[in-house]
Parts: sequence; C-alpha cells; structure tokens
Amino acid sequence: MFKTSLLSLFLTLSPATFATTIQSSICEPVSAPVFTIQDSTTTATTEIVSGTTSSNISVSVQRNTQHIATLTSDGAGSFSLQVSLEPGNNSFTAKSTNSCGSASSQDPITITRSLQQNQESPITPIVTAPNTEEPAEQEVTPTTPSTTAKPEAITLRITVPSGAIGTSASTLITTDESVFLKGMSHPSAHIEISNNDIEVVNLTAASDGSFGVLIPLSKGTNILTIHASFAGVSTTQILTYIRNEKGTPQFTALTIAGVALVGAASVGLILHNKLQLKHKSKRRR
Amino acid sequence: MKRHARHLLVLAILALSLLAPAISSAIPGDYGAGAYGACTYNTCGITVTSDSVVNMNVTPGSNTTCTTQKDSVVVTTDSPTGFSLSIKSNTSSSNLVGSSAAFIPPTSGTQASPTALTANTWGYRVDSLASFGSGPTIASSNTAPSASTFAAVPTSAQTAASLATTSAVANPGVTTPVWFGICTNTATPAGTYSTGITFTAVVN
Repeated sequence: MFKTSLLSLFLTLSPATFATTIQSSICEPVSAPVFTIQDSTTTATTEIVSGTTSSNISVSVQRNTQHIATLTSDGAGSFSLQVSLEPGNNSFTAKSTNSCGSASSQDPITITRSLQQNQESPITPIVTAPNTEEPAEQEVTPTTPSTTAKPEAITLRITVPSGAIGTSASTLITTDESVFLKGMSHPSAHIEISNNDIEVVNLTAASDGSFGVLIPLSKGTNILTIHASFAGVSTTQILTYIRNEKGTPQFTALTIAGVALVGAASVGLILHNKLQLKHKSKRRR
Repeated sequence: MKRHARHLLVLAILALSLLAPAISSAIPGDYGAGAYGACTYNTCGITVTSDSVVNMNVTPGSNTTCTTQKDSVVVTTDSPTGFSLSIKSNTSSSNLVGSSAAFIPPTSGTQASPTALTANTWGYRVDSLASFGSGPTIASSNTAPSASTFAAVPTSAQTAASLATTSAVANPGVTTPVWFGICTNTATPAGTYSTGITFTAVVN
C-alpha cells in the first residue's frame, strides 16, 4: 500500500511519453591491414613495422598475441610503429577497426631475432636517442621483462627526426605530411601522443623502453604532446611542428644582430627580405 | 434577490439528494470492494523510459548487410487496469536522415503485414505482437538479411502503433523489448543516419 502511494507521488499522470533516437552509422568496409615488411631474420633489437589499411582507421598491433599498440592510420592508410624484438620468433599481427566496430585482420608476419652479431643486417636498428644512458650491451642482449614496481620518476626522450629543420629545441619546421617520432621511456610505459589536443595514438613502450610511431601532420602548427606514464608516475614533453607547404622557404637560423638569414627553399623561389628593409629604414632615421 | 438565490440553493440540494442513488449505482463496484489506496484512471501515475539511443551500425560488404538492436521500453504504473504502450515518429517522415540529402526509408511492412527487411530499409518489430511472429529476435551486427519481419514506424501524422496492452498494476515496471533493424548495401553513402521516435504510455 505504501509502495503504491509513494509511486503516485513520483509518477506523472497519464499519458507518459519518452523520446528515443534511432541512429545508424553506415561505415566504409575495412581494408585488412597489410604489412609492407615480410618475414625476416635480424640481430637488431627493434624493428619498424609498417603497413597499409583503410585511411584514418584504428589499427591494433599485437606481438605474440599480446597487444602492444593502438594507432591511427594516416590519410593514405599508412601506419608505422617501432617495436622491440624478443630473441627468437616475434609474430606480429594487426587488426583494423572502423568506427562501426567492424574489424579485419591479416595473416601474421614473423621476424626472427637472432642473437648472433651481424653488422650487415638488412634491417637497420633504430637509434632511439643520442647520448643514451642505456648500456651498449642492451642493444644485443635479451631485454628484461618490464617491472611492475612504481618508479620514483620516469624519463621521456624524444628523437628529433633528421628530416626536420628546427629553429629551437622544441619547435621544428617541415614540409613532410607526417613525422616518425621515436623515443625512449620507462620499460612498458604507456605512451599517449596527441596533436593539438586530439589523441592520435596510444601505445605501450617496448620492454627496453623504446617506442616509435608515425604521426600525421596537418598544415600549420602541430603541437605534439607526448605523455608517458607508468604505475601512476608520468611525464610529458611537448614538441611543436610547423608544417609548411612544399616550396615554402624554411630558415634554419636567424641572426638579428648581423642581419643574417640562412635558409633553404625551392630553386627559383624569390625571397622577400622584409627584415633587411626594415633594418635599413631604421638606419636612415 | 436574496430570496431568489436561497430558492435556487434549496432546489439544487433537493436535486442532488434525488440523484444520489443513481450516481452511486453508476460506479462499478461497491464501496469498500476495491484495494485501499488503488488509483483511479485520472489519478494513476505512469512513467515510460527506454534506452534513449538505439545504435544500429552497419559496415556493408558486397552483399546486403543487416544489423538488429533492441530498445527496452519500461512502463511503470500503479493503475490496476494496466497500461497501453504505443510508438510513432517525431517527424512527418519515418526516414533515417543522414547528412546532405541522403536518407534511409522505412520498410513497407506494417504490423498487420510486416515484411523482411530489404536493402536500404529499416523498421521495428516486437516478438509475438500482431503478425510479427514469435521470434525470438536476437541482437546481431553485419549479418545477412534474416526472415524476421519488420514494420515501419508510423509518422507523426499517422496513428501511433500499439506495442503492448496490459491489465494489471505494472510496479515494478513492465519491459517491452522493441527491436530495430536495418539493412544496407554499398548504395547507401557512408555516414550517420538518425531519426526521433516517441513511446507513449497511457493508463487503461
């Protein structure tokens, strides 16, 4: 009785209505990811795994059935990821998933890491950072499993790609449509990279702390925020890329005192030296 | 003037006293026969809720591809005579409307004559209601067209379609599973399509 009376207090009088939205997302079919590398043998501890799939789609990469990274393919459908190699067979699979949840996988590839030293390895190991503090032996010896202990602090080092021309340590200018970011952090650290506050990839660093991923760049300013975390400890680095149109003059250095401009541009491009004209007009006064 | 008003009042009281037996006999049931505290038609509270959004995502392949998802509509009322639940569109068309000019029309089926979904149509069904068949319908994504039959949701200009009728208190609430299905092929441009519908519950 009480229940019924109480119900009457909260219920509306007849009729009652409820609005519902019927929604349907129709998605393009998913192209199964195809690795652009094939089965191989190497002595390197890391390898770049790249491939193609549908454009702007989520790609999940697994090594030996363990998920290691989720990234987004670029506008051309390309994806690329630096992975560490365990001694022996490393089986890699990739699965593409569209916004409708439809997924497609491809046959795995196997990269066998041999412990034999071979300087003429056809696969170039990725140097993750200059002045690395890691002992040289770690480049060829088996890596230790990641610890679950909470570190006091974790490091995060980003390698500046050689193709970019920088004006400062954290701002770089390029005409490339993407940049391959490489770095080193805590082993198995969770790495999140966003471009202009939009997350573009999250992945797990390898057992040696290395990671690498292809980041698409939009025209103009790309503020890349690289956030590394492990066991609740985190650190962040910000890298700014300015992507210019191809042919745009890119100055490698600017010296105000000597009014010296040093730059690189396409052949035949006329550079208007406004800075120098201003300098002259000041002298006239 | 005052005397005239007093006469009218006396006449009114006299008329009510004469009509009282007739009024009481017109009310079904004797005094004390109903459950204490039970509401009557005008005082019964009622609510209706559902999942708010039904997502039917489809990735069409080379053949017609279908997705079916459920919306659980819950009606709660303390009415001893139950409730009636119905459905209709919020708009003058039952199309799922996409960006630009693209849309997905409803199936041609009705409750009396529901049909299996064909390519680039959508509809609803309630297992065992009218001519829908018993089912059971199960949620599925990106499957081949099934034999399950569906009907078009009536437009806002049409009479709402009845989904359920009960005859007892619905407390706790009674759930009516309403299934929505869509089938598409690559002729439908990729994108998001949607429409609004309204469930209405009235006390019987």
